[in-house]
Amino acid sequence: MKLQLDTTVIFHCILDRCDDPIMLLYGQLKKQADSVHASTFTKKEFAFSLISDCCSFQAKLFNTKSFLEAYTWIDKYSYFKKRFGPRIHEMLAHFILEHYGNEILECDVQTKNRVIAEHLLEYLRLIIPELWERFDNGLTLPLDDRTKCAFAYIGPVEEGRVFRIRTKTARHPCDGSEGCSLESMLKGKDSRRRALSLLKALQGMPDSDEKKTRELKQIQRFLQEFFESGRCTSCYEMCNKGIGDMVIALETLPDRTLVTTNTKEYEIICTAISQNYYVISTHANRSS
Amino acid sequence: MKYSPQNFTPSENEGEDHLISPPLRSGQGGTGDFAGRQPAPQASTTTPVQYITYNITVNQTAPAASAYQPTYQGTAAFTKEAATARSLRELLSQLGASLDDPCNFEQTRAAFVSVLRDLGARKQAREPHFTDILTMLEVGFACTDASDLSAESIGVLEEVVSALAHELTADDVRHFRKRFRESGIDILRPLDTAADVSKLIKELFT
Repeated sequence: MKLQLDTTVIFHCILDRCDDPIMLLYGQLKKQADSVHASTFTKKEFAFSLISDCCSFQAKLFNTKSFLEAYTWIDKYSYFKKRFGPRIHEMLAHFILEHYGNEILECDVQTKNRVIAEHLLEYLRLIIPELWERFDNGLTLPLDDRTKCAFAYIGPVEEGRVFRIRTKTARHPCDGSEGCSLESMLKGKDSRRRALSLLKALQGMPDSDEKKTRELKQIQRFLQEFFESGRCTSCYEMCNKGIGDMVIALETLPDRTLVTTNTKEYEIICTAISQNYYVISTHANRSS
Repeated sequence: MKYSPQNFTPSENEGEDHLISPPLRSGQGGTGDFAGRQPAPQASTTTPVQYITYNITVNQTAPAASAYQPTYQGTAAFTKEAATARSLRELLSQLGASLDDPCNFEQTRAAFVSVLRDLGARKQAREPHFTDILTMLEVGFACTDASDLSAESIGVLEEVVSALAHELTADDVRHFRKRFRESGIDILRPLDTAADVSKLIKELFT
């Protein structure tokens, strides 16, 4: 069995927490695998989710010098990124607990607020590039590069005391001539057939169906436009707004099993395109 | 554009319409850092190199041969840091000898972290990467169990400690992060705890 990891699983692999039930289940799956793969597009997703969240949090700490303000903001911010926001929220609080213990409890609130902000800022400087560099750990082969996503080769860029994720690259835009090759991938015979199957499946689902999430509606819009015009709209505009799951599923080679923790979208997408997949969930594991 | 506190305010990506950092200012177009590729350290900068891994072939233009030259070798540039580094190395020698003695190990480690924190006073006077190395040492070392340390990892710690007496660059930080990772010292270890987050924050701030 060949495994293709999506961003959600890689996130768990990087942190590799000993009490993480997802890692326990993934460990069992990995024992049966011949090889483990991921793609440059997945790495881009990682950059624009966890790494981007870390950069934003770091910038907030830098600007406010207040842990509480940044922490409160993360709560609000995570509303928009339900999947990653809470994880950041959790892991940074863990850092405080582990790193300071009881000595911080003796300080007044104002001092705690400032000292924790300073230390978190320094710690984020250290772990943002570390998280990025660990992405490839545990993979059997170099990243697949069917989309030639330029963002996967850039990662967090240091600017002063903070990092940020670049939004424009020398290899952008998605014009098919340079850089992103999402459009040519979708025009490939096999991908086109699978994308068309997905579009038909989504068109067959009423918009009122609760299984048809916001992301699936965006995928449907994207595919409709693609099949009408034969062109992809800008990858920067689209790839970061909901079509990531579709791209990862379509770029996965048919002999691989896509491994994810995200049931909602992948169940619909993978079923429609006849892609083997495996959902690692602490509730019930599903596969096809 | 060089960073200066006067001209730089980082983005915070607030709100859904601003999830991604704003576009770069002119002159900051990226060329990538080859992260995720398989660089060939000895390869020529111009010759395309064929990488062969198992049964697949990946054609890539080789990145520039590593230009990294440690700046932390040679004569110490900072006297106070050099003296502290000597003390820290002595403590590391003691630590190496007490890996099987948990009580002695914890005492020596506490002494090490205490001496290290004294160097925090030098942060303002030193380059930013000095702070990075201090944080790396403190976080990596304070959160590593004796069972995870070996003669090799103690050697890496000695190397990093010695570097404190020299001017440090971003390349040095990158190099030491890699050395830490290879020797089993994990700077992500502080994240490996199970805790009730909201309860913790309440306890801290009420």
